[in-house]
Amino acid sequence: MSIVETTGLGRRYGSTWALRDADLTLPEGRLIALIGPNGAGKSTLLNMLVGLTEPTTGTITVLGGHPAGSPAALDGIAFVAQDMPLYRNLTVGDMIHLTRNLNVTFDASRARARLAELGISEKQKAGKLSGGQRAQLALSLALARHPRLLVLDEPTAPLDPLARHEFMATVMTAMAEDGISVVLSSHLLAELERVADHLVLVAAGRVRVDGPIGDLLDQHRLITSPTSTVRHLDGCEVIETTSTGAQTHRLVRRTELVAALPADAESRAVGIEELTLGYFRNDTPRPAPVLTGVSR
Amino acid sequence: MTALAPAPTLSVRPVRWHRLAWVTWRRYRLTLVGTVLVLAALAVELIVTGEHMRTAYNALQACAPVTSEKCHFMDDSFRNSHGGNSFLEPVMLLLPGILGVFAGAPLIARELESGTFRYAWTQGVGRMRWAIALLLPGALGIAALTGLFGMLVNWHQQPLVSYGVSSRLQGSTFAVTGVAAAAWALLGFALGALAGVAWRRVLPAVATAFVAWFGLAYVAADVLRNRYLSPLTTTKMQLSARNFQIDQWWTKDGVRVSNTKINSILEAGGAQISGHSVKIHVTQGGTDPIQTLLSEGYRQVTQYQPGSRYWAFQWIESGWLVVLAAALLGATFWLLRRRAA
Amino acid sequence: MTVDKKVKDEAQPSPITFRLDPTSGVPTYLQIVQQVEHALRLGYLEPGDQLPKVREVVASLAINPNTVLKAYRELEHKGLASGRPGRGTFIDATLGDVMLPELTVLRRGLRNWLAEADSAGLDGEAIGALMTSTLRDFSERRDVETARGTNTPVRRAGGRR
Repeated sequence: MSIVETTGLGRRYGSTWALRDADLTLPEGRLIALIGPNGAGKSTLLNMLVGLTEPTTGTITVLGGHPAGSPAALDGIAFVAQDMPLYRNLTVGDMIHLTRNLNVTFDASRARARLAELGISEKQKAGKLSGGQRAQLALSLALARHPRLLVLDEPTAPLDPLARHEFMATVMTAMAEDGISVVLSSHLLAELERVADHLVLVAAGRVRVDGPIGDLLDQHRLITSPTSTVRHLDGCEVIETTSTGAQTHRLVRRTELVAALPADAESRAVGIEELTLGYFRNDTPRPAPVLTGVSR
Repeated sequence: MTALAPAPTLSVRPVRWHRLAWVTWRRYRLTLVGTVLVLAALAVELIVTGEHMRTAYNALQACAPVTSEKCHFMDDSFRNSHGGNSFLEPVMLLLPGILGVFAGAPLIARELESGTFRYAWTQGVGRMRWAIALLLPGALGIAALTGLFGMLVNWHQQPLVSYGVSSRLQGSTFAVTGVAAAAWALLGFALGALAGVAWRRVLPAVATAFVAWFGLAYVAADVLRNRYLSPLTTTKMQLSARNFQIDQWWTKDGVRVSNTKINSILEAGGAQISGHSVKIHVTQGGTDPIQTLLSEGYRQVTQYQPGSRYWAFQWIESGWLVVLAAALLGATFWLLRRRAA
Repeated sequence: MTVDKKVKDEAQPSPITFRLDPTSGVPTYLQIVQQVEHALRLGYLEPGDQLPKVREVVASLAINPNTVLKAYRELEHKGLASGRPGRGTFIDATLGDVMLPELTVLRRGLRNWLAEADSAGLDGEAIGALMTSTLRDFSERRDVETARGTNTPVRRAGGRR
């Protein structure tokens, strides 16, 4: 079952399209990493996902067919926004009470237990907590709602490495124990291989990459050839080219299951960071054909 | 695997209203305390001066004979010390607007400004129910409190009105008495709420809403209130202060005479005119220029609203205010629904 | 059928914990597989030991539970471990017993055949007898083929002549 489905999703602000032609099917029970340069459509997609923004065209349904923003969608999705906005003057205990009263499903004892475990006092004002504590509070409140989908918008950006580790450990544990799905918007590309199952890359208002991480890593290669003998590669879509007098590197995506390489070319695997930067730096808005079936 | 199955039937129960009541209470706690403190402070002043006034009034009523020097003196001092506008009156007049706008504007504007709407509007309750739970009790609450205060102002005014020192229709108090006080506060609230959703920032919202409120209050006092019911006219020279004078002019044989002509006649009769003030010295044995005018067939026409129309006007004014406030709140909800992150 | 192995008490934690080297370039799930094999080689893990629970691995390493599951499935595929529903994943074999992939496939085929034989009504002895006679036939036939190819006299098993 898919946890999120979009068809031709688009959002326009004035005369600019922040996002366009997004067709996504995100699998359930997985962590979907959403990456992209700032201002390139990522936040727009997230906002539509959690019901804060309405689409201009197309549809977006969640949790198996409910329109995003509908009561069923709101009930089943918990959102931790960037910078974890919480009411600064309310105490932690008040925040628990508030969240309890704004939701039908809320496991207050679970939230309390988790916060006690972390040493966060219920009498503390939310605004006085450290960055890591605020993140854990926001996360505890979100998870106590027993959501089916947890949406996180760059939650670990302001956190130190230990706080970041603890935060992600909590998210992963919730995945293991409750089987929740997670959509995580992140700039921390290095840790995505460890943490994400599925990758969606949005650049220049379009979805450029959408697939399981393993498949994507298999599909992309860095081809190095002598500049003098460089020629078109069949069955490959070139994402980025860098060349010097002697060498030309091309980051490619194999569009056919078997792509023939010229004899003098070398090919190596690329990591997520390299792959992502390649797309970021070359965001020509051409939709790429989806290749399925190439997997380890 | 990805077959688009029809959306499963909605099995989500909505959040119960009594749960949201806690949210409302928590949000308004400080506003409530602040409002009550302000109103209480003013109330104390009103009660204290009101008691003084009543004492003086009772003494005045008891004074006999009415035409004696002593009673005249009492009368004069009563009028002087209680009849004038107290320094608080401008403050009190703005009060419903201040209370309403400050209660209504930050409600949604602060959420938008601080980003907490990203938390509040993604909870299971949804933004519309959340807004209803916050806006409606707030609107009713601020209206009720201000309305109670308005009743107190009525009580305070009562000796002055009975004695004929001032009119209940006068602009300096009308909007802060009775039902109108509640309605003006309600309008302030609705303006604040709409400005809050529109501006998404507290300060511009408060400023805009208050300016709009003030504009409407001015128009109501200066123009509208004179016309709720057709004004009456009289040619009596002395109109009881209970009535509210709108305009005054002279006519001869049914035709309106310009003020310049009247002024020249008065000056010829010995009056001194500077600007709007006419000083008439009646010398011993001389003639009052006013009497000269009257004897020549000039008549002074006064257009006024009788004080007895007070409650009628209160209901008329409150009526259109409530309708306007309801429309503004409706617009607030409409804009809220459309508001994109 | 199975030797009565000493089943370790489930309440006991696993003898090993996993560490992750994010810079090694090796995919996460593979690192887990390799750490289990390494532990087996060095004797940290023995048959019957429980592998760390998914929840615990995830909580300490902050990695995706699907990755851990993928690793454990790989270990099952290799015949090193097996999952017991509701109880966890346990080591089945030592590295010395590691089967080549073909043998694992054959073993699976044999299991299926045994299940069919079982449902056809054969008991253990009948199955054993069937196996023995068929194996003998097969070996003879293959020896004949081989002998034909090399012109050497055929040596028959069982002495049937």
